[in-house]
This record gives sequence, structure tokens and C-alpha cells, in this order.
Amino acid sequence: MARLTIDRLTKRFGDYRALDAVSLDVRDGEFIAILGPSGCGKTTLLRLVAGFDRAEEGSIAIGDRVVSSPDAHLPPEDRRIGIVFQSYALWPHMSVADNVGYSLKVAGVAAPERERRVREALDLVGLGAFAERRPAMLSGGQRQRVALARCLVASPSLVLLDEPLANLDVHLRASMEDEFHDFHARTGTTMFYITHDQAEAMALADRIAVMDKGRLMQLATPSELFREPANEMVAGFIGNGLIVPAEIRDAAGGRAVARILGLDVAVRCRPDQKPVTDGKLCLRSRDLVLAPPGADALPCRVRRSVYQGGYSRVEVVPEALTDVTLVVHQPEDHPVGPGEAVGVRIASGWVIPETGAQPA
Amino acid sequence: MAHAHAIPDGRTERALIYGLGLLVGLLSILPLGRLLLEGFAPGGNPSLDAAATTLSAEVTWRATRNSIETALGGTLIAVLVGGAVAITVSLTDIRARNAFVFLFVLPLMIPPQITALAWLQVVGPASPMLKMLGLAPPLGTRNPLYSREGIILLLGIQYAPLVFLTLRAGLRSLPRELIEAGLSSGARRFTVLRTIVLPLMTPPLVAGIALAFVSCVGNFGIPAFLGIPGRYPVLTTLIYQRLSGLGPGILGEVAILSLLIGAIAMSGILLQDYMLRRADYRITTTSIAARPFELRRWRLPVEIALWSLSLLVVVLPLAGLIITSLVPAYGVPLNAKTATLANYAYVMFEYAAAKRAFVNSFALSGGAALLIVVIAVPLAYFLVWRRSRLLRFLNVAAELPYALPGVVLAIASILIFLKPIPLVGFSIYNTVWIIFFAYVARFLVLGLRPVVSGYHQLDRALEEAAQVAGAGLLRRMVTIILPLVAPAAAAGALLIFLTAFNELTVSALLWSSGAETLGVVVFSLEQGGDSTFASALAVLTLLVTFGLMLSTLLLAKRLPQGVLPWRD
Repeated sequence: MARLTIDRLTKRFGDYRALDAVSLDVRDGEFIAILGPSGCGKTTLLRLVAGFDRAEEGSIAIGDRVVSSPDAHLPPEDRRIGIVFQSYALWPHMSVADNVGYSLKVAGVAAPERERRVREALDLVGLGAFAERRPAMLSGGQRQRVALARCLVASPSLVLLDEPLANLDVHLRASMEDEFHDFHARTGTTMFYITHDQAEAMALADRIAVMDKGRLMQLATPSELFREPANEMVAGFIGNGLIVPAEIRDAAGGRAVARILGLDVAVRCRPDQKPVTDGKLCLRSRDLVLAPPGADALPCRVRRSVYQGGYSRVEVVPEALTDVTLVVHQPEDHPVGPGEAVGVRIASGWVIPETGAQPA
Repeated sequence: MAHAHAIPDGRTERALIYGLGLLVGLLSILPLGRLLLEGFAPGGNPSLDAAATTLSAEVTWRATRNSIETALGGTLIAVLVGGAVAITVSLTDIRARNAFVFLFVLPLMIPPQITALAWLQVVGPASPMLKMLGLAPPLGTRNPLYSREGIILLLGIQYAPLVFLTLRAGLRSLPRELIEAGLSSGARRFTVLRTIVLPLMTPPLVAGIALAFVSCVGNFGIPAFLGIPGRYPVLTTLIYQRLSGLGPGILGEVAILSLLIGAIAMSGILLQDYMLRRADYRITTTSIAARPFELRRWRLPVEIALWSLSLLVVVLPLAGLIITSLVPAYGVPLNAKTATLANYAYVMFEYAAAKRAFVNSFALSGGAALLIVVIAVPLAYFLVWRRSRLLRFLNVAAELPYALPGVVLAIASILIFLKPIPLVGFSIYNTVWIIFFAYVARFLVLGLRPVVSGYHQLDRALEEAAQVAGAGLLRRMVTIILPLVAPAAAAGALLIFLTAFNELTVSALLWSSGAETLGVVVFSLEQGGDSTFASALAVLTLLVTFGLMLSTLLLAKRLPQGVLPWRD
């Protein structure tokens, strides 16, 4: 019942396109993360889904019902959604229990039933003992849990989370991440999670929608995003992929040969990849190994080596292409120093399927 | 070198703080202390005789009851009207919001005595406006405004903008998530309003109620114009009538009366304090202002209702005032034949007291504005950026003369200056200087508040950079601080000028022949039955006021938000 279907949604602020024809299909019970740098349009998307802003073009449907389109707008109070705000937005004049029970009260749920459900929701987030406290007397993590309990008490069909961990410290973040995960597993609610932190998105989401400049860049599972980025933006944004120009040939069945700076390397690609002369290759640090300079290695010079604990992060510059920096993880028992001439062997790579013009 | 520098700077700073402390003490603590002394220990000997006589008089209690009745009634109207308008304007998508706010808060800048004078021109048997429309009641009918209800109504109209402004400021800082969280919980707009917005607005609402109540209690212009002819005394008019009827010999008694009115006002402030301490609704989140509720098909009716209200409350009485100012004699209907500018010519060129009053009011309010800015800029500097117990005390002290009713300060000023000033040997009683003293004391906080908020918006590092560059305190103050807080200071000065220019409460008790203010002249013209002259003079003073208000809109962008009440 709680599928979320977003179809060619567009939102302009003046001349600026905050959302540009975004289409997204979220399955019932799925945990989806919307990931992107700040200003990419993810918060605009959330406000449209919640119904706080109106759709100018395109549509949003929750379940089978169209809730936003240029000529129909279901107000937020009728959407049966739950939201966890970045600032938590707990009402300071109500106790924790009143905050949580608010939507039930509004819906006219009788007091005994309401109290029972509030207690259940608070127990679920481990705050049963705090029911009578004021939000101002809670810690950041506790407020977060109250916000979560508040949005879940009415069993919404869809839960929207707006960077819910952004205001928490690192330790709390990890434990709340676990809680969100368990929570999703227990309730099976469809969750729509806005974040700019890719580690968070990877840890939590079934699928991640990467956005940039108002457009949807790629919607895929975390591992797919990492292994098979659709375009340069995703390749660079997720896991700091390195992008190098390459000529692609002999592409067949998901394998191809890439010629990088005179070196032939076996790489992965989409099954339908065509040979191109000005292709782009995404390289991960784990694909690169330092080797003595030789025929099967790219001649490079070390620019910098930073010890990271157990290994060193070595930045090297290919002799033939000095505006590209490759990053290699070098075990600590084989240190290299700046200025040293080394070879880099490329074990694998991914041919970026969409190059040049950004995808529509 | 750096060390050598630090000492003179610290010394300048200390000298400046103590100098300012002395000045604020002189302007706020001294008057109140002098008044208390007169009330309970006249001439230095503890005695409760004056208190006993005054408090046992029947008229004292009648006036007290009337003061409280009218203040409560006026506050109720102000809260209902101001509150409803603030909520509608702040939370819905009505159009032309800025223009509406400007019009709606206009009565705040119209002095109460002119509000009263204008409304008297709208109703009553001799009203030229009603005559013109053929609606005038028969002659001999009593003007319905000469009554308790009339006073309550006009007090409500006068102070509705005050409640509006405090509530609007609160609504503006309400984070939108708190409303959105309610909506996404399934609550309708009215439910959100009732269960979330209004409870959270308790602090500004209570503050607005207290402010309106204290203003109503201390109001002199409205009961003076309506209550004196209507034989309905309140404390402020009782003090005025006692003093002008019997002279300074009665000072002991009026000191008690002004302490009584001060106590009533103070109890309002303390009650507010108590209520706000009990309900701690500190908002823990911050964000941009809430998105307006769409009124859809109700938008036009709501807009029509708001504008009609404004027209009724602001434009109608002003029209009445203008019509009266254009007729040759009170009671004559206005038409093409009767219309005349003779009243204007009379008050501008012939009537000597009016001409003097223009000069006096310009000089007094301009001078007070200037002096207050000179005090406020360094004082606010210390209040905001240095904190000490003395400074916190000074901050409260500076509020007192304005928080308490104007008559309290006026009576205190008389007590201080009745005898020649010690050491100097001359007296400023019966001169404009006593009014000047009272203006500076009373309006200090009007200049101080905008400058304080100006400092709050400044990055302290700007000053620290100058300090690192080697500039001493005074140099920093003149070359760095002053230019940066100048817009706020200018706004404060303007607010003082506009408030003092039309002021009546203080000058009604302190004026003397040759030292009249515009408020006093309008009042005495109306008391003498010259409504047409009074109206013409009132229209002229309002033109100056509105002209200055409009001119500020031109430089509005450079001012910190919330400094000028009429700018939304």
C-alpha cells in the first residue's frame, strides 16, 4: 500500500531548478536513501513528498493515490506520513508523552487506547521512563528517539527522515544508525531517508538515489553504486573514485580492454558497452598496486605519502598525464617517499557508461 | 608597549562605565527615589500623614477603580483585535502584507490625545463629519464617547498595535518544523493553531498583555479628552486636575497618587514575570519562518475584513479630524462653500502659543533624541559586550522611567527641580529644561533598545581587529563602532523624536507659559472649546509624524529588523 511513485517532478525557485524531472519508484517497505551534496535538491524533494510545497510539474503518488500534481494537492495532514525533522521539532510546551500521542489525539483515538500506544511507542525506542519529561530536559539522542516514536505511533504508511543524524555526535550517530536499521526491520515501514553522508546511506538503505543539481543521477543498491557508477558525478562522489580518460575496445559480455596512457588493462563494463575512443574509466584505490617501473606498470612519481595506520595513502602522478592524481594504498612495510619514481599496476576498473552530456 | 597601552584603555573604560552609571542613576533612580521619599518621608521625616489622607479620600478609590476598569477593558480589546490580526497576518498568505502592517500600526504613532480628538470628531451631535453626511444626532445629545465605554474602546484601539507587534515578533521566530510536525501528524490548521501555535505564543502574548495594561493605566490623553468632560476620573487625570487646580502645595498628595499608579503598573509587570517564569516554553529549535497557510477562497474575504478594520480604526477618525479642521466653526457642515484653511493659518501664523509650541516641541524632541543617542551608543556597548552586575542593574534602571506611567516621572521631576539645583543655584522649574530632563529620562530606553539590537548583530571581531591594530577605546568607538551602529542609532533617535514630538502626558504636568509643547496646545485648545483649531494643529503634527515615518521606509534596508515598529 505504501509504494511511493515520483514521476518527472520539477520545482523551480525563480529561474533556478531545484528539482529537474526527478522520477523515482520506492517499493513498499523499502528503505531508500536520498544522497547528495548540499544544494542538490534532496530537501526540496522531501518537502514536496510531505506536501509542504506544491508540485509544478510531474506527480507524486503514495500507494495508488496521486497526492501531488499540478492540479491536485493533498495537504500534509491528510497524507498519513510521518516525519523526523533534522531539528526534531519537538513541541516544547508538551511532555514527551503528549508529543508522541499528538497525532492519535488529533485522530480522535480514545484515551486508554492512546496511552497504550504511546507507551508501546516509547518502549520501542527505550524511553518508557521519560514519558512525563519536557523535551528541553532530554539529551540529543533522546530527543531523536522521541521524534522517531512520535512519527511511528500512528503507523504511517511512509516515514520521511530529514538528515536525522546530522545534529548528533559521532558515537550517538553509530548507535542511532543501528536503531533505525532494527526499527525498519521490525516495522517494515517504507522509509525515505535524506542524507549527505554516504557512509550513513550505505549502512542503512536498501537502495540509494544519488542526486546532484536537482537531478537524479543514479538509483541503485549501495554495492552497485560503488562498483558500477552510472556517470562521473556518482563515480567521484561515492567512494572518491578516480576518473581517467581511456580508449575502450573489445567490449563484450561485461568485459573490455581499456587503453590508459599506453597501457592495456582488462576492465569491467556494462554488457551493452560500445567501443569508444574518448571513454572514461573509474578507478578505485583497491584496483591500484605500486610496482617497480616496468612494461606492465604506469610510470608515475610519488607526490605525497600520508600514513593512515597500517597503510599509507600514497598520491602519485602519472608521468604522461600530470593533471591526474591517483591514490594508492601502500602497506606500511614498503614505504615510499615524495619524488620517488614508481610504477602503478591497474588490476581492474569500471567503464563509466554515461559520459559527456549528463543523463536526462 | 602593549602593556603600557592597556592601562589607559582600562582606565578610560572604567571612567566611562561609572560616568554612564551616574547618568543613568540621575535619570532613573533619582526621580523614583525622590518620589518615594516624598510619599513616605516628606522633608526627610518619616510620616504617613499624606498617604493616610490621600488613601482615605473617596475620590482616590473611585479613580483607582476607574483606572483599573478602563485598563482591563482596553487591554481586552487590544488583545482580541491585535492578537487576531497578528495571527492572520503572520500565518496566512494574505497579500500586501507590508502595506497593511504599516496602516495597522499607525495608531501607535498617533498620540492618544489626537486619537481621542479625532474620534470625538466622528461621533457626537456637533460632528462636522456626521453633519456632512446628515447623520448627526440632535443637538444636546451627549457625546457617547464621554464615558467609561468610550475610554475603553479608544484605549483598545490605541494599543491593539502593541499586542500585534509583540505577538508578530513571537510568531516570526516560531520554527516552521513545529507547525509542519503538527500537520504531518494529521492535525487540521485550526487544531495546529489551538494546540501548538497558541500555547507556544504564551510568552509574547503575556508580554503584550502586560505592555497594553501598563500603557492603559498610564494613559493620560484619552481619559483627559473623554473622562474630564464625562466626569469620569482616572488616576492620571485626577493627578493632573489636582496639580493644575491647586498648584505645588498639593505635591505630597499627588506623589502618593503617582506612587499608587506606579504600583498598579508594577503589579502588571511583576505578574507577567511570574507567569512567564512558570511556563518555560523555550523553543529549542531554530529555522526559517513558517510557511503561510493558504486561505484559498477565504483569502479575499479575510483581506477585505482586515482592510475594513484598518480603515475603520485609522482612516475614519483621521477623516473626521481633517473635516473638522476645514470648517469655519464647530458644528458647521463641510461643503464647497464652508471649506476654509483659516484654522491652519491661525495656528501657524497667528496664535503665538502654537508657534512657540512648534519650536519647543521640535527642539525638545530633537535635542532629547540627539543626547540619548550619545548616551546610548557607549552604554549599549558595555551592556552587550561587557557584562557585570552594575551593568545589568543599569539596564533595568534605564527601563524604569519608560515602563512606569509618564505622570510618575513628571511628578518626580517637579519634586527634584522645584527648588533651585544645589551647588549651581538656579532653578529649571517652569522652564523647558525640566521637560527636557523628563524626556531624556523617559525616552532613554527607546533609543537604547535599537542600539542594543544593533550591537547584537555586529561581529565582535570587527572591534577586536581595531583593538589589535592599536586603537584605544574612544578611537574604536568613534571610528569603528559608531559607523556600524549608526543605522540602529538613527532609528532609535527617530523613534524618540516621533514619540516626544506629540507627547502630552509628561508636558501636561510640567509646562509653563512660554514652555508649551504641541500636545499641551492641542489639549488646551480642545478644553477651551476650539475643536477646529485643535484639529488643524493636530493634522499638522500628524503630517510631520507620517512624513518622517514614510521617509524611513526609504532607508529601511540598512536598519536591523524589528527596530521600527511600523516596518514589517
